[in-house]
Amino acid sequence: MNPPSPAPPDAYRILSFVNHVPTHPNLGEFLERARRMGVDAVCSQGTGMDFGPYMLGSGTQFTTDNFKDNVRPYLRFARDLDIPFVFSAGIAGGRIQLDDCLERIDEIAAEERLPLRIAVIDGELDRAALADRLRGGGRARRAVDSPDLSEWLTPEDVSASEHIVAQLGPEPIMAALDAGVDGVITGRALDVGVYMAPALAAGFPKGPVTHLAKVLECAGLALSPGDPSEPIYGTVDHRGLTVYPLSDNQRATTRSIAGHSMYERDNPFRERNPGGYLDLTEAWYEQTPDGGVRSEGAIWVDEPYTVKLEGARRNGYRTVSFFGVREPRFIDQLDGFLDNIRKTLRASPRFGHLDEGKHYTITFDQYGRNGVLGPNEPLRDRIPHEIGLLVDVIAETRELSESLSYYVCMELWIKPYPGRQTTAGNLATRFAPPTINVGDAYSFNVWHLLEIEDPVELFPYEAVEFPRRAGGSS
Amino acid sequence: MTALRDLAGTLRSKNSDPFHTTFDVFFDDEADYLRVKRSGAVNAPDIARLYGLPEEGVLGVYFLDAALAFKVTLAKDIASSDPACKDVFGAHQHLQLSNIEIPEAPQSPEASQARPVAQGGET
Repeated sequence: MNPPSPAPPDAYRILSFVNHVPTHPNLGEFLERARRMGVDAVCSQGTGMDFGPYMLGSGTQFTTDNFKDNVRPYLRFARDLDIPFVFSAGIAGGRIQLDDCLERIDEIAAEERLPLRIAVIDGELDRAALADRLRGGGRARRAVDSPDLSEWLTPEDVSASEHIVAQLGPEPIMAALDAGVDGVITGRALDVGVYMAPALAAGFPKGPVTHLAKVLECAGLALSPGDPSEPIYGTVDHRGLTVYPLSDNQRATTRSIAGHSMYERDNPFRERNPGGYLDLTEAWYEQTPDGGVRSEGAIWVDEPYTVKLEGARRNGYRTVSFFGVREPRFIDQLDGFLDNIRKTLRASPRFGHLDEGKHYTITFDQYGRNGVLGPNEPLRDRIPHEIGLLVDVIAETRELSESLSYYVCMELWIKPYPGRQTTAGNLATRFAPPTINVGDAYSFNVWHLLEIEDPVELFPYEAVEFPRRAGGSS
Repeated sequence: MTALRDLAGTLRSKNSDPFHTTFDVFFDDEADYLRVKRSGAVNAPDIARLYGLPEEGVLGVYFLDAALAFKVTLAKDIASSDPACKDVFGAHQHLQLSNIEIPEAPQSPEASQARPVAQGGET
């Protein structure tokens, strides 16, 4: 079935996919259906902090292979139809990750013989300039009331952070789209902003546009059954939005669309964004005869403009080890045994001068007992027959982390406990070597809303011709 | 009494940010949804206790009739980026919620209104 879509200027039609999710094998069919329905822009988010602070702090991402495989057919599609594309890229979306993604764009442009003029917007902030801004009266209040965050961002927080990115809003993307480019690629960006920008630039109102963006931002995850490897198709007009699947594998249902409108949000009726919030209190959803879902009633409410900053601070170096415990007598005494290891460490000549909590942390997780829910485990008093023991050491330096981990291993292996029969070893060791160096560990120390006057000021674009090797940048 | 897990369709948890966990519970059947909503068994004080939080740690309990769903959002006791956090995505925190016992639906409509249900963030 090919749902008819209203033609511009009555509606704006967006094709959406997520660029860090592996590509669906039947993508060609989905794109053919989208082509028949008509598309005005291809939008895709590829940034987010779901994976925690490690990639932001370390300047890494999983692999850009997904990104390359994923964007290639959509770039081809957008150029064939001569419509703009807007992608955010690089997971954490810092400068390093964005550059890695642009390398892959370079490869695609060369391999496909597809010249592309792209406006690139960096989502990472210069830390020295940000610290100066704060010293000069600039303000950023924490986005959530957590004791882990300064109430107001300080220059010290900024310098303690390895990298700081901003969720740039739709406005810098709109400015870039206006610059005679084929498309826009950003680093870290507000997910919904990627989808809002071209529809706002086309003159559609912010309430329905933002609601459509929210529904489209995880692509096929908003459909039933949810699968983010499938694209999704949505139209917005002056009153509301209509969303369609692009394959027969998925359906748009009022439940899936209303449900996705609250996905990953703390409040299902009010979504805070730069410059305002989306009010969904009065939103209604209706199945359309052609297989879509219609929604109207979303309202945009203006507020002072802020942009969300995210920064990661290094906590130390992480070394882990993993053991299996099956001996009932040892399981009975394990909690006390682990407490004793801490005490022995604190009294030892090598480590006694260090403060646990300041110079190092040791976390023992007992899988099979309370490894997932910790102290809130309802069955915490049930004696398990087997425990997977994870030892997680984080210390100031790699050397200290390794030394502490080895010390804990030795204690676990050979230290006696009352009634022990297994004098050749207390537990099963899963890996050789027993200690695994994971790398630096980070936490978010910047999660603040920076007050800015002009949404565009921090996020200039640079128009670049791809492939860069052949043509160079302009 | 029936456990919430046996009435719900989808029952999921996820970080809404590194400092909050949000739970979305969807029902396949409107009667089940209304039974849960009207029972009052999904309430902030009980949820706070199940998750070892002070009551203000429950940011909201929201019922969405349009989706036959409710949402609960909690402050995390350990932020997802803390080295001691056991669930980086917050995707496996649903157990205590799923265990909540829901009483049988009352017969008369008057009785079903006996306990008002929190709406729109009033928990």
